[in-house]
Amino acid sequence: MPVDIATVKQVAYLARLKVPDSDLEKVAEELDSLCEWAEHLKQVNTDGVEPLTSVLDKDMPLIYRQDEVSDGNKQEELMKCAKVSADGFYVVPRMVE
Amino acid sequence: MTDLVELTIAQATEGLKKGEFSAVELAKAHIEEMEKAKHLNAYITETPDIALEMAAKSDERIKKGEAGELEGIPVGMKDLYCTNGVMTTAASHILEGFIPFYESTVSQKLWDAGAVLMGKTNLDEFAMGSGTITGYYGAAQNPWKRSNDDSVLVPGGSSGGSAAAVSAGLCMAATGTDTGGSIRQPASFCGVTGIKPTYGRCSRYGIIAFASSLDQAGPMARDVKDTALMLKIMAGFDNKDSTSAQIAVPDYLQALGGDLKGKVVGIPKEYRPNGINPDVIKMWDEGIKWLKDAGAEVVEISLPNTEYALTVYHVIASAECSSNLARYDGVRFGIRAEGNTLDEMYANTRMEGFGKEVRRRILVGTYILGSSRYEDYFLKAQKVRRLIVNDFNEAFKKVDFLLTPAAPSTAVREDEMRSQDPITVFLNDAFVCPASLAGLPAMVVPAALSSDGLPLGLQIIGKPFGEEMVFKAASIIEQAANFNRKPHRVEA
Repeated sequence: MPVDIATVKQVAYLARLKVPDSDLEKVAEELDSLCEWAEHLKQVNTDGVEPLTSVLDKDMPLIYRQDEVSDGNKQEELMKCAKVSADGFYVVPRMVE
Repeated sequence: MTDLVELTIAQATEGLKKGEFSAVELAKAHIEEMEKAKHLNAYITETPDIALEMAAKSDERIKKGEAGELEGIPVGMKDLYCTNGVMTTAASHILEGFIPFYESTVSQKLWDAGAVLMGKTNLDEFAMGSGTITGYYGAAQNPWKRSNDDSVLVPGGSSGGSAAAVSAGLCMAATGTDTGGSIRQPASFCGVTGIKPTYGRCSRYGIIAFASSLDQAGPMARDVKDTALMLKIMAGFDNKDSTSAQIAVPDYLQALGGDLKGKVVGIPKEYRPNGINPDVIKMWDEGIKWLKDAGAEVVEISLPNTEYALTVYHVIASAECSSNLARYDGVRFGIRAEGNTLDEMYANTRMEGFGKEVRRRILVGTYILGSSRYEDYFLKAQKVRRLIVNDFNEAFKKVDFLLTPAAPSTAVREDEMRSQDPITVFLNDAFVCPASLAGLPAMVVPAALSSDGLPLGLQIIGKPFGEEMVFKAASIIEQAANFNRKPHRVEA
């Protein structure tokens, strides 16, 4: 099933990428060709196979550390990385009128 | 003094210790070489002032007898590692001007051992690419040229800036990251040595994330010994990365040399696809012979799901990258575009900040993770990934390590790679990608020159946390291959 333009628009919205209208067709083609390429995975019999999310999943459980404060008080440094900030807050476009 | 750029780390350490030259002189020689090689675009940000300052401190420590294991050694840092006070871009416009106020664990370990920062090396944007051609700061160039034509070749990618810098003598060693072959494929293209250690061997803290289940840090250098020393310093458990392994780091230098008596080498038959460069096959056959000469038994094995690896990789890496890159929103760091609403500001910032290839992968990943495709593509890929891991597990019941070529070809022309569709570009990573999916340690060592004079690398794939075996095999191949490891310097 080829990807339609409405789907591309929805994907672009979810990805928060402003894809120009003139590129929508091209993105649809790219998604199509990826799907076509990925089709051959369907040949593989994966009945009863657990999806692998991490190579560490069985033998090496993730380590828990003590739940204690090890860092902090970096507001000033963090704010320096932001393009727009005021009084120690990030500034974004107005959301509520 | 410019010959200083031709030394290995081991040789330079010796010279520094004996007082034949100072760390400052060593840094200066590399800075001069970097000046001559600007056109390679190996570095996004050069840090000569920092280098000289660090080198001066190294000289003091050497005088006091407090030298670390990498004291005074000029190192290039892939611009995916956050470096305190030094702009870190991931070769992306979206991070332009981002100056971290913290240091990645791996780079900190290198500084603690006395290494000297020469600069931040070029890469594909967010490490997404196979040629170091997709970045905002332009393509890096391979210092090597074909013997019969002068066209510009890619250094491979995504750690192509690091590979080019090591190859051209612009640093003695460099860091890379490897998600689907990004250390090993450029090492092969540029005639240097590089290892992607086992997933979990190095901390990923402070390394800008691409695909978190695959990303791993590793070193690149001009010989096996230097690479082993670099990894020894870089590796180890880190409280700040829950996926880093609580396993002691062996002294890899002790593993080098000797013979392979009693060891079994697996030769995967699926690594001989149609259309492979005959020079690659010739080198592989020669490599097999060298290992036999060292006493190893060689057996053919099968990794039946190899043909699905690139697809699985692309599906998983795209999905993970679309999640990881959601953090670039124009609010907390990097550039910001205007927008009337919050969503509009996000969408405009991300459209302006990300390059074409990164946008493509984010869209693909978002699409795959959507409810209608999740099961057919993402879950399916994760299941096939397990089968690929199982293939390796089966093989390692019979063999101690695997030997394969690093890449199906030599370095590709830059204009050629630019005109290829993304799937064709991926084919460069066909041999390096499966070990990434399985999280296995894998190393590339230059082994031969092609008929047109370009380097070709062999890959050794080891068992999980079996880096010592990998280094041992690599050192034996290195010795037998007798590859000219002198830097491929830019002529003055």
